[in-house]
Amino acid sequence: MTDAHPTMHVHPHVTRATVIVVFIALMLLMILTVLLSFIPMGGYEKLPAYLIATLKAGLVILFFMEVRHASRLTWVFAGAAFLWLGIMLVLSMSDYATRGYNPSEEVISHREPLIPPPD
Amino acid sequence: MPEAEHRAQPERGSWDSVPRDAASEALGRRVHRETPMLAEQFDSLEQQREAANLGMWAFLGTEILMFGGLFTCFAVYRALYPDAFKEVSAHLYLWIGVANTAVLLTSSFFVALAVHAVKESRSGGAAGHLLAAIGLGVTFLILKVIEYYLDIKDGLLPWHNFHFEGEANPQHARLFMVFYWFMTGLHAVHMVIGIAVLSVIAFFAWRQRYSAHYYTPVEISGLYWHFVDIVWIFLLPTLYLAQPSGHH
Repeated sequence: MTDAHPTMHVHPHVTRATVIVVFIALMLLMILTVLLSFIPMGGYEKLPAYLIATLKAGLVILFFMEVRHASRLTWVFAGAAFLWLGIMLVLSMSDYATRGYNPSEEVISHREPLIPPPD
Repeated sequence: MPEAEHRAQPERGSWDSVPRDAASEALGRRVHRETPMLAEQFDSLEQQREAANLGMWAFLGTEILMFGGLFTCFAVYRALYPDAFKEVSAHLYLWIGVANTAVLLTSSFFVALAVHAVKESRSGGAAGHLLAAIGLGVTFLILKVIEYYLDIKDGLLPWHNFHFEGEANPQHARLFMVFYWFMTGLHAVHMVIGIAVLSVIAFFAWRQRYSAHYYTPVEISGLYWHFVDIVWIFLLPTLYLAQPSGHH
């Protein structure tokens, strides 16, 4: 009945097998990230953790949220959100990371202060 | 009916080429009469579905930036007080955090299966999958409440009775716990909303409302549920995965 409807539209979509494979991959990545967190990496423990988290999020977005088969406009909407998130993170962190840095310090430190400090 | 197809599925970017004569207007009215779930401002269910998906993604964009603000704040303070944040983080219950990650990933899996089922017009099957996802969502919240209870017992509620016995500056330790409670709390609120939404969708799916012909509500509620899952995917490394030596 519905097949003959004029507004019926057949979609390419993620198959059941793909959904199962992606789920297994997500669980394995979760186990991997927990195991990796027990290995000392000299202060870089968070790097693999966030790489794996990004990979997991990518799998969910592409296959569970089916952005893979979505229109290009959907890609733009989804991509814009992460672009702005990236701008917020990068600009905020670049501010805090450079606050103590004064490029003129080196030059000044070799001179007598222009205004002598009070006794 | 070739004319009907033309009216219902205009070529992309060719709205002007769709004839607007009396015959096509009549045809449009008939399409809407025969398709009660098609809102009057849309030409076809496909166009309606696309609009709903874009609307959901626009909303999720605001959600990403709301949680993103919290993650950015956290990143700044972790950069300022790295030792304190690592030390307190090791006092969280890692096993509950990991168990909840598994629970949420599995619930997302069932939601993906529900969308898959409904696209094959198995509305009843979709209801079953959604019920499994709802059950896992409730399991997540129960585990979270148990964890909150244990955290409070450990004195890690940043309130007047907050106490942290360790080398870290107690003010910095307290700040980490403020982030922990706010981020997991906001996430839990989203879980409650998601469970409510999925319950309504599961009910309608059980009543056979959805089919391969019309499944937009299942799909966009699924988008919301997956988003909440993604937030947790990032909360796991942010809050729980800490220094190797100090895990609980």
